[in-house]
Amino acid sequence: MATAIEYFKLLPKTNCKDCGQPTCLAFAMLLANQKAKLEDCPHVSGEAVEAMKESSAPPVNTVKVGTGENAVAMGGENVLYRHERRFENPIAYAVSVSDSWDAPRIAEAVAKAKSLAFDRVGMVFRLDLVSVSNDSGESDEFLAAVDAVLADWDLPIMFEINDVGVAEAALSRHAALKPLVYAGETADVEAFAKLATKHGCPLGIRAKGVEAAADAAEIAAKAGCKDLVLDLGASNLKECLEWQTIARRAAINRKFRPLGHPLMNRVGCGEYAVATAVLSTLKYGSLVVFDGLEPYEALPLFTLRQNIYTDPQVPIQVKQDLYPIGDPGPHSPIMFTTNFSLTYFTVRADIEKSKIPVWLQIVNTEGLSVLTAYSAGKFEPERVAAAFEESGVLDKSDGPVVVPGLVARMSGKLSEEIGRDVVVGTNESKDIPKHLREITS
Amino acid sequence: MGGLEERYGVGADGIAYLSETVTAADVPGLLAFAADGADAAVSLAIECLVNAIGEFGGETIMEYPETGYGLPLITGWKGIEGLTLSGALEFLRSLPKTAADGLEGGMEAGEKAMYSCEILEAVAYLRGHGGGFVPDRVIRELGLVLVDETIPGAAVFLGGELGDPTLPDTVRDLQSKGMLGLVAGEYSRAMEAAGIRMGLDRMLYPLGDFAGLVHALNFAVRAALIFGGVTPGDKTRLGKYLAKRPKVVVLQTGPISKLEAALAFAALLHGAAIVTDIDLPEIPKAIKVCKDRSDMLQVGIEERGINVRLEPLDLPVGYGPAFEGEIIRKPDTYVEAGGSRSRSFEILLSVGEGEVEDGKVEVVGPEIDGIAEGSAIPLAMVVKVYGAGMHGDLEPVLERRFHQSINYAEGVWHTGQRSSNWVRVSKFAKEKGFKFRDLGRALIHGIRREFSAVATRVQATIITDPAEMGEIARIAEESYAARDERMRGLKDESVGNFYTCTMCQSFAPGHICIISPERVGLCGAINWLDAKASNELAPKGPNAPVPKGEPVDAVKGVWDGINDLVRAASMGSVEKICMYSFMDSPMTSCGCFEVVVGMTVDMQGVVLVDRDFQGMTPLGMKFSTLAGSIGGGRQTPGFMGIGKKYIMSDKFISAEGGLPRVAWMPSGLKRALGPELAERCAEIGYPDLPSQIADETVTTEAEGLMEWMAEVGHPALGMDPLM
Amino acid sequence: MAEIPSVAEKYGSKVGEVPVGHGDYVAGGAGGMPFLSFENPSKRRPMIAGEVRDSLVGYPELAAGMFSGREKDPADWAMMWKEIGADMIFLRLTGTDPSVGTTTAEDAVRIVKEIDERTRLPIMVHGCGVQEIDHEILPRICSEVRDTRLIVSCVEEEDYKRLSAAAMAGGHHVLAFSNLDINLAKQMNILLSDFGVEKDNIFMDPLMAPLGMGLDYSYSVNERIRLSALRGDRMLQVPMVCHTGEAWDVADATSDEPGLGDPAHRVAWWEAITAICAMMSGADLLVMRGPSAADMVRVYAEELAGGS
Repeated sequence: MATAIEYFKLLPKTNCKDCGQPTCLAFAMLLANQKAKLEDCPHVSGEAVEAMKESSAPPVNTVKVGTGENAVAMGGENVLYRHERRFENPIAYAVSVSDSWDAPRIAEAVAKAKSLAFDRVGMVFRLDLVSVSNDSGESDEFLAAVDAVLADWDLPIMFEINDVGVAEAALSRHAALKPLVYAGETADVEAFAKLATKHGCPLGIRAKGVEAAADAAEIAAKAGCKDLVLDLGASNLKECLEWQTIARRAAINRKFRPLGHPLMNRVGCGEYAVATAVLSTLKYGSLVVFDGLEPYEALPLFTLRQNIYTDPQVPIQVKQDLYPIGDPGPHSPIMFTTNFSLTYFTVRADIEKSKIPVWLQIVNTEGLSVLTAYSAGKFEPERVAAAFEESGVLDKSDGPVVVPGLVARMSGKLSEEIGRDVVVGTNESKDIPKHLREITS
Repeated sequence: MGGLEERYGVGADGIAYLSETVTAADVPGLLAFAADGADAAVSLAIECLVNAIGEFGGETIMEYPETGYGLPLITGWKGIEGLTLSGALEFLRSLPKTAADGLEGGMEAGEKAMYSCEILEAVAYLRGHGGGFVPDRVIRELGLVLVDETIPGAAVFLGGELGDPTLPDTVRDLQSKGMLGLVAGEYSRAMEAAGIRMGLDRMLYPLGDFAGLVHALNFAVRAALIFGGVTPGDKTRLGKYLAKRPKVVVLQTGPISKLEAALAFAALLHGAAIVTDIDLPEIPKAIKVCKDRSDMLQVGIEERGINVRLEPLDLPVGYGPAFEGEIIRKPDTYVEAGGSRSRSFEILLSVGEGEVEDGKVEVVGPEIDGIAEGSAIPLAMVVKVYGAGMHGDLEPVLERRFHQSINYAEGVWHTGQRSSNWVRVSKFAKEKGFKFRDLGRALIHGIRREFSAVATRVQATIITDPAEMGEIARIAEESYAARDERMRGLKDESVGNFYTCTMCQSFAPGHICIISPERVGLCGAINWLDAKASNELAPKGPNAPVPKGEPVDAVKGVWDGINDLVRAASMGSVEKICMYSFMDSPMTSCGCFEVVVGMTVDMQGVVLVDRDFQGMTPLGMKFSTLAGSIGGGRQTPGFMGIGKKYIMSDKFISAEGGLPRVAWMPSGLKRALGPELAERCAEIGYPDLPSQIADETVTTEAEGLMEWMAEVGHPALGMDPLM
Repeated sequence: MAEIPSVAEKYGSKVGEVPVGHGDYVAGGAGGMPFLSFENPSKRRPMIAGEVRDSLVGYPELAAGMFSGREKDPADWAMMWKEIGADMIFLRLTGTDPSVGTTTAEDAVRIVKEIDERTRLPIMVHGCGVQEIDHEILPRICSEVRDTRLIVSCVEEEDYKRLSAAAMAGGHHVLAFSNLDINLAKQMNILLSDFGVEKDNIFMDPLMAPLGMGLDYSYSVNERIRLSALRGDRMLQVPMVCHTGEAWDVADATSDEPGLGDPAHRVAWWEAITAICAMMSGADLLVMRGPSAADMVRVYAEELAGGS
């Protein structure tokens, strides 16, 4: 991958700001981090763009389904392990409806798909796509079913169509939505590829095993199709894991282009389907299409996706806020800690274990943990006092204010800042329950 | 001697021969003496066995009571189990005659002597006269706390004389340190005579006379077999285990007999250290002479590296981290020192063995009771330490502990360092009975708690009398100056090792920090001396030495040893680093660097941005954007994270021209660098440079910076472009 | 057909194999990343240990309800785990803390012996977390339970000597705990080796954070540990233990909030996903709480390992 300096060499160095960045150097940095495209610079030569594209294209294609801000991007991956670098594009989940269903049944399924949305840590976890399956084999029924879905579904859609004729009809009408056309296992890869390319839509094909998939991908590529998603046709967990690993390693470690595409799985519903989705989320899948998904499956699965696709080098942060734990009252203890998610989770879980209601104030330390934040000057008594002020917690309770044991040295200053006595808590989070029992008894 | 003849069923001659003593020996003399003792011990054991076979029959199995290890020394070292009297005879006869040459010969002698004694003692049990053997069940209890160092170590008393006046104090010292005492020879009677009660409940256990000393050895061997999982007969592993634990020291006083000399070598074989008060030759980590009996235990503890557990500090006020953040305001202050109100300083000095009395606290000048409320007094806090591994470079590391040691005390407050410190003792603490003496105790406690491995003796002096301060103040000033000089004088060329630091690896797994004398860690917190000290204190900790290896490029700062490490640690993703370049293979960055160095857009100069500056820079990027782009352990030529102090180094991006490349830095960073920046610029021949470096008040734009550089004639414009 | 370039890694090292219990169960032995038959010849799936406690104080009611009353007697509870298909019993002696229960040292020894006699499964014994009590009771168990090789859980950097020595004296294994950091994990193993514990008596617990509560950190720390071990870091070549029961502490896993679906199913998935992540990142032994999650994970692990 090219460094910022290598990109910078290609740029005009005029700092014209036409790319939206204040300097060519800043733009080069974005390029190196793949947060911009070379084409965004109107002054760079076409040859340079081509040269750079070749050398800097990620080993796995990026494929976009849908349009606008809701578009789902897949692939674009550069690494095999998330500790090397953040995985680029989170895996997408879809639920399928059949065109052999009547409109009310489809509406019900779409409503259920929409209900799989959960507000978590300032983010919404939701289902990405609804898939329409051409079980009828007929164009008219298919188009009707798509209309029924679109009546209540604003996010991207995909089509499962095994017949080129039906696909032609569907794309002629809906190409503007940029749906993914999933042809499944087909003898007509070339025809589908040409069709998808003509309409500017991404194509999904299924071929059993990595060799067959590579062959199919080559055929599609020859037909001009760039936006390809591969289903390796795994019939069980082991095949899913091994084949997807082989495909991704071949693409990244061996620069094997035919397998450098996002990978997808068409599963059914129930335990085994969810297990496949879990594996695919961990190991290189970009899309899983279900027949159905229950909320008790969706929430843990979506949480997993959120966890796996976080940036390992940027600590996840919790919002600075007052978090009541249990049902704290006017005399409950007030505790505080940093907004590093792991710290927050640990402290919160340990407070919950004590069964003693507590006001937990989270202080924005830019995601640093207690000691690191303190030594970096981001967990100062002034900052804590300001957070107290903002949330008004000191007016909510006259209970003891507990200073984390590791930063006991701020106790004097904090006490002065807030005009209230403080007590020093424990060094280890696991000792919180015991300490809470002591100070509240 | 009559008792011993009856005990082992032997004649008087052999016993008498083995009991011959000397009070001085050189190395060959001692070896010959021990070898002679070993051979005589074998003869005596053979005599004993022949008689025992006559009495009990050759097929009688030999074993000690309540043990699963038969004859533990023979089982442990030789792997021989279920020995009969005849078998033992055969075993002894198979031992070669001792060659009295070298330490190895001594060890051989020791081995033979201990087998012989083990057999003698086992026969004593057979004859109904046994004693001194510690049963397995006791070892399982006592051994557990001995190997986990709850009991820090054991002392074996060997020799001794009735009426030794130092004995009660030594025993008290031993017991207060929680150590186990194993008492052999005349020492048992001396203790009885001195009214010292023995027994396992008192952690003082009599082993018996003469051959009884082997019970200390078979104790150690069984601890290894039980807790070390050592297979009987695996000599190598047994030796390796015993070298580490249990930690045993032999205190030998007075004339030494032939048998004792031979068994002393056996004790060495078991990893023990011997401290003697007679003229024996000294062998490092093995035999140490100490003529002062009251000091022998302390010397033994140091020789064997026994970590004595620290009793909690008992002060009239509370003590602990909970009081660290306490603030003492002026009206609450009883007395204070320093803080530009009075002369005050603190110093830790590493001194010779004889110059420290461990645990001693001295107050020179008036105590707190003699001082009027509200005074500002002169104060010197002086801590002297000794330790075999202690040296000057560790002094500042230990001295930094003063701050915490003092602040942990309730009602006492400390800030600053060296001669710019400031101490307050509150009225509350004074009322509770806090004394300056307690200040000294707290200082000693802090050093012992953290650094017992290097500082084995600690003494504190608190001086409040200005007339007594002159000399020590001069020494302190010299010491501060020497430390500064040492750091300044340290050059990358003059050391063989750099250090790694893995403290922040959890966030930046790919990042490998290399710390050299002239390049501080990029978090700014750890310089080369700190890393070196940290490595000495915790050899397996986060700072490991890296041999530089052969220089590959002196200008860019490339060494093959450093590259080898970087390649291995990054699993091949980073091939090499140039310590002095930010354009070519710069060091990787984690997330905790203090400052980012970045190339300007005209490729002539560099911009420095520190963590505290949140505004826009002429690079077109803010610190946060830069940090996000270059962190995480990647090499990003043109950009690099560094520690502030590196800016002042001779080696600061020296491959690209160094400090004169700097065209812009935030005013806050300029202020933080202080007068040193101007001094440094003058030193390298660019006295005008500080005023030529722009800041955010001049411009935050690329064009603005270019104009400014042209306007002031910035030296970077005269250099080759960076690319 | 297209020829796919070979992607099997040749690591050159493997994780040690450690027999536990009566010697009929073995953990570890991986020579490649989990379940990749093209590079990891070991077909061994991770062992699954079922959690049993001597006291139900602080144990989730929802979980207790899944054991049909058999959770009231530790040995019977263990037996139920065996019936479900667990390979090991994880005994957490919370009740030895006098503020929680009344289990004495004798009781604790008796419970371990009973579980051993009835199930014949390997056992991992965990204390109550109060140092003085654990220092007394766990060594007692180590010395009095001798015919099965226990795993003594757990030792930490600040406190490892007593329990390690006791485990060695009884011929048992120790579990080395470290807090989410590859360097700390390695440091623990170095400390134990220096102390005389053989490498094939060490298991490591790098702290598995549950789904939604830091799982991402654990997943990556585990992967790095395993990769380093395979690439030759001897001090990391010991079997890895991951607890997945913490999943029950996650609010989202068990809350009654409407729209999230049945909590019993949800928490099962919560723990199962945590466990799958653990084994996909290198865990050789999973300590699990819920029976349905354990059952799912065992079935999937068997299938992935390509044998049973």
